[in-house]
Amino acid sequence: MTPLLSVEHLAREFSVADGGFGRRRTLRAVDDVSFEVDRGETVALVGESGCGKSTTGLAMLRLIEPTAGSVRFQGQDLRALSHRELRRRRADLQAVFQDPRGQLDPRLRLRDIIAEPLRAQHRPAAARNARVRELLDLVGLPDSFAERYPHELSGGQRQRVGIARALATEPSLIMCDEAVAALDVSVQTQVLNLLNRLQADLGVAIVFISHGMAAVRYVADRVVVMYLGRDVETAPAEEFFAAPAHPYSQALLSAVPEVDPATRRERIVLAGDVPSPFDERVGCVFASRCPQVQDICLVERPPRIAVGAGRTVDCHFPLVAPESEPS
Amino acid sequence: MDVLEIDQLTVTMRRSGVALVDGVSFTVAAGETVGLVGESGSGKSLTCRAALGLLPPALRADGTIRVEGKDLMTLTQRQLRAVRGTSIGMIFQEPMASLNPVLTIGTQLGEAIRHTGVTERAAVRRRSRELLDLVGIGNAERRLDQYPMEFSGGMSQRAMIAIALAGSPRILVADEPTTALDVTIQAQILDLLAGLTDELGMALLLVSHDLGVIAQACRRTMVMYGGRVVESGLTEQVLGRPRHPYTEALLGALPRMTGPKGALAPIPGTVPTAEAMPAGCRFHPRCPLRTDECLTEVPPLAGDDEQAIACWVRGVER
Repeated sequence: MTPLLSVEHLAREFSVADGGFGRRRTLRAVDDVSFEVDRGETVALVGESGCGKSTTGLAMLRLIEPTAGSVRFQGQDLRALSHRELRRRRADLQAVFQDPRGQLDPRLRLRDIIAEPLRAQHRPAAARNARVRELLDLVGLPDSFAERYPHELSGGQRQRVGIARALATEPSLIMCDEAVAALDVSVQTQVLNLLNRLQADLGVAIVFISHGMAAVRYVADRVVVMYLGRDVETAPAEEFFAAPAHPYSQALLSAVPEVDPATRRERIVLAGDVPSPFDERVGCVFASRCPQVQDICLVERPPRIAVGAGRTVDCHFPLVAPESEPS
Repeated sequence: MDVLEIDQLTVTMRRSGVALVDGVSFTVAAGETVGLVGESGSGKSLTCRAALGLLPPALRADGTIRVEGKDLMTLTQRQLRAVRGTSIGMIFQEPMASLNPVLTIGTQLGEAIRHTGVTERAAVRRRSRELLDLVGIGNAERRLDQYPMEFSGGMSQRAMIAIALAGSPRILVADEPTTALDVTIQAQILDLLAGLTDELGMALLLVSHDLGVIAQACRRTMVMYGGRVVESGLTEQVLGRPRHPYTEALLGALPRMTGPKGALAPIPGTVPTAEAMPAGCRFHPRCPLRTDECLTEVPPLAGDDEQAIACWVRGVER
């Protein structure tokens, strides 16, 4: 069966002014990223700031234009669509962003905010109003909220409204870019549970972009780890958290501080910082900080190795044994 | 010896009279790391700003704040400036926003060093190099002549720590020092802070919303909610065997990296805002155990050094 969404060799470059005199440099925010999302599946894009996860999310929905690669949604190449066609397709591809305040127009009532995607799809007014009530109920807000303005809501309630709006047109996929990052722990959990419930009830696929690894563990079916614009590991979530295959994944997981003293793990403290995204990439992108770097890592880009069902890692020396060749 | 002693600190909004911090008391001893943890609006940042004498004019602090025995409330602005930077140092969340972008790191570090009385050019430079070494910034000579934009987030926070250490303070107040940083960089900064308290015998007051950071770094912890300390004591007690319903609920809502992945139990409702602080126990609207008493009477913080809670329901047993 073809996947719902298939991203192949996606790239996005930005040309940035360098000094003055019209000189420009190229920032490669996303540099050859490939992954798939199945129907009803939650795929998490994880990594630290500057790894390109948000740019990947925007480019895969063509909210910014990719500079290379392909994005197939239900078998259709999104990059080949005209703007008019793309707008029609958007009913099926929605997004929720980090700042629940910034994404809601302060002058509109929630009724109008939630109905906005429906208006864009030219649904009649009566159908819109009925749908708004349904959606509020779906995300656990009372009917009366339809008449309220965004400033009357708490952060968690605003994020529910953002999710309700994204669900308005019954999309088969929503992208959540750091959708819980700005929320307090007690409220973040409400939203994580809501996402899990929506997925179970509606079968919507979710691309969950986050730097919060613990939150990812609670929602993701599959994890794609990004570093410096590349996807370095893709794995089923369960296996990923139990035994990461890429040295970067391992360091990333071990760096998350844990509350329980009993489960506190050996921490790997990486030296140095992420290299500049302007630099030419030679060899492995993680080589400059990798605790087990070898000579080959500095000169040769690691191949993509299969290390289990649906599991790949870009590493010369993966931490999980590669699959033996099929006989 | 207690380097910082805060007794019955209350921070009120001058205009409305609402108490954003209400009767907070604690001490931090030399070489000790104490954590202040809470969600937004819990009053943790205001508590540490009050400890530095850095409240905005719209807010008023009452109570006692002693740094190395000196009562900050009785000091003039000039005396307060002398205490800051020598007895007490501070670092904040956004290292990039705290550094002046048009001055070199050396200039900004030098300013802090001259504030401590070292004025001779060569001596300032020498001390600058020492401080950068101390916070793990290699290649100090070259780094001093660079501008903040040439520093990464982690390096900027190291530079801020160097500036805070210029006067060899007895206590460092760190307000969300790693919140703006990536986890792998956060791990570096937490290691650095732990090393500094060990080596220099400096006290550290660490403010964070991240229970994991607090659990890892602090010997003692205070949990704040709605401007009050609701639970305090040894970190392994408070976060390992919480007794206050809020601490318990907060830990129950927290996604973990290990262990069974059961459904998380969110805390119903939202954190109270300054305009609508509940009467009685401020957690009562969200508390599963509330009784009539909780609606009207403020529970006192009761217990011992190991563990104390402010709760009418759970506080009486034990």
